[in-house]
Amino acid sequence: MKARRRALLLILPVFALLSASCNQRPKWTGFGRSSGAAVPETSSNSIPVASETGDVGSSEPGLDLVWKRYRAFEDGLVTGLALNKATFCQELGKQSCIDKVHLTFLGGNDPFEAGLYERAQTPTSITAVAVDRVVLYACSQRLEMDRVAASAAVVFKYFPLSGTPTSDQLKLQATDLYHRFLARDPEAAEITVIQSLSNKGLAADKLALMMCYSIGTSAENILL
Amino acid sequence: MDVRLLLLVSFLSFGAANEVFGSAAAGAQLCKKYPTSTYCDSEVNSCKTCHSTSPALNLYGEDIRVHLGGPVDTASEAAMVSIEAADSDGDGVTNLDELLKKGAPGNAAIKPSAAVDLVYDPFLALKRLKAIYCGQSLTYDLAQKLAATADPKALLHAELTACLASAYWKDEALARLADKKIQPLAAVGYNGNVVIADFRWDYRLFTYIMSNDRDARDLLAAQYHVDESGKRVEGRQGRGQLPQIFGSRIVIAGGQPLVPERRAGMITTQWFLSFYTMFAPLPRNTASQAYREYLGMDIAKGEGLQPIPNEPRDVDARNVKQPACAVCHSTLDPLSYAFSTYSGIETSVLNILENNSGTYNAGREPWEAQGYLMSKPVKSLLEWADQARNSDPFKQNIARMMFRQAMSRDALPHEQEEFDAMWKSMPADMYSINKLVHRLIDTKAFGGRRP
Ligand code: HEC
Repeated sequence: MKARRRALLLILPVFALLSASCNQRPKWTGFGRSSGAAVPETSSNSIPVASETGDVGSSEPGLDLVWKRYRAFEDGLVTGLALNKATFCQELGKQSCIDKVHLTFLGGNDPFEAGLYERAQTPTSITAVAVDRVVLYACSQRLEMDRVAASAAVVFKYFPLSGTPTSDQLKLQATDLYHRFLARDPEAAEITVIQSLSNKGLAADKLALMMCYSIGTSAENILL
Repeated sequence: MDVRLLLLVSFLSFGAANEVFGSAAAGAQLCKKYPTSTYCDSEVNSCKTCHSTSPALNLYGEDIRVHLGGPVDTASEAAMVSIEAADSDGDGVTNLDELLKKGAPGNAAIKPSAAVDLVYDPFLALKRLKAIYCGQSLTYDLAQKLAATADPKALLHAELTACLASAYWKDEALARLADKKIQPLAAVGYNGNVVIADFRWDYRLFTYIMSNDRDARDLLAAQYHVDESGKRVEGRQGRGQLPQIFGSRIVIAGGQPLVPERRAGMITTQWFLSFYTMFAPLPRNTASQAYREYLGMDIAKGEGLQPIPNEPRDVDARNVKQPACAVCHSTLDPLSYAFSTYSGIETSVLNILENNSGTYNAGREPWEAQGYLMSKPVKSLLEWADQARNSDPFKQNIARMMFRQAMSRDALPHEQEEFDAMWKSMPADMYSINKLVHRLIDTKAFGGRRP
């Protein structure tokens, strides 16, 4: 429980930081499918439209995206950050984030208990909130595990979590996170953005969490 | 039914029955005049040229309505011609150009697309296929393997083969595809307070047929069932729970009591017959659900209307002869006759003890042999199912289901050719869903990217 409180304490400054400085993070809320023919957005607190008929999306060849839905999204976090699938995300310590609480907004449906026979066709703005929450859970859990594991850390192992990382250490950490979340090497420009954070005087653990969160919630991790 | 009837009431109060009727006739005229236009590839689609969601008209449909000089079923061609030079949806392309060049005259988001040569991107395809068919995110290691291989397509297909054999695909993804077809309702299912049937049989049968290269036509043919261990079983299947007639919990039925020789796969399980037929003499809901889910035509939306002369005869005195009802019921009632010898929920004590819900009873009603499916006579439900599973709408519906499952949408005009190739290949592939999906991941719709 102590770990959870510590993670929560971290969250606030990270949010402040993200909204202030991290406009490099790709924006994917709104989900206009890049062609300009935006998908009509449902009002933010409504259940997503459950219909896969019709012509949502771009008619322009090659601009359409596929939503990485709940199970694959979960797998990316669990496998990517080496977490325990059963426990990595429990809202209020009880209900599974993926299979219960956020299921609908992460693109699933529960026919038996909720009587929902269809999944949502497209993400809504609540999807973005759910993705943010789940990724933050996953990242802060891994951070706390690695803090305890110290030299046996699995993900956050390129710099001490209490200190000031060098820009080379940041690059190594970021590269590893790109591999874990996006299955590719980062581009030079992406590394530059991350390295520019090294001289902002941020604590190492906050930087680590922020990188993890930013890369994990990037559009590329959700819309394929 | 409740929802549908509500829907109907609202249709009717807007005078929409005429429009539904209009769609069928006008849609046929449109497709005769512009046979290569975007939505004329199949009966189900043809309404989309004029309707957003039937009966609501889109901008082009609205324009037709405004220019009609007479009844919709005879005057719509003239109206179409009169607005060929106009641009109903205001997207800068004339209606005629949209109709001739794979645009959509009533949808501004769909215009004839400049020919773009997409390149197939194996990395994109691999990310998508791992997510869709394995429920996994692509790992860096696998991405590296892909980058290193001389034959990326072979790697994609090997990965797909593994995914389609995975527990995720069989127990989860395929089950979610079945939800709309089965519509489980916990309150009256195997664990409910009133048990009318056990829909777990339905999920098992569906998953079994849709996996391991089995023949998808078994969805409308299987005379076997699948037990809890996943094994195919023959014959009638005993109920899992004893009947319970008194007390707070009532168990009416269970197992699979229908004799094998009267079975036709998913549409003759105890759940399907009980849940959709319930107590109706003429099982319209049952027929309509089978038509909607296995042939892709939703009569409630005015799709798949193929009226039979002198129908509906209103065999059960429900007042469906009135023109406002006959629009749909001249197709739906003949579609339902073949189901009328299969019982729904049977609640007499004797029937509960004998587990007679969802069984065959030749004397139940006299209309069995009077039915029609897609304008052809059918003498029994077995004939109905045989005709259905060998039809083009069946193949199109399966292909559409798998396409939607992957892309969360229908094929777009520029993807139509690839989509048609998919469903047309089903007989050669012995109706294997796995083979269909292997074809799907090879399409540019799935893995195409702009160069
Ligand atoms: C748009 C097409 C359409 C029209 C118009 C229509 N129906 Fe139906 N009706 C259906 C469909 C489809 C069903 C089966 C339920 C379903 O799948 O939605 C049905 C089912 C029924 C049933 C069976 C309900 C049950 O629970 O067994 C009755 C009775 C019925 N309709 C009466 C009418 C009457 C009376 C009218 C005219 C006032 C009418 N319908 C107009 C499509 C239509």
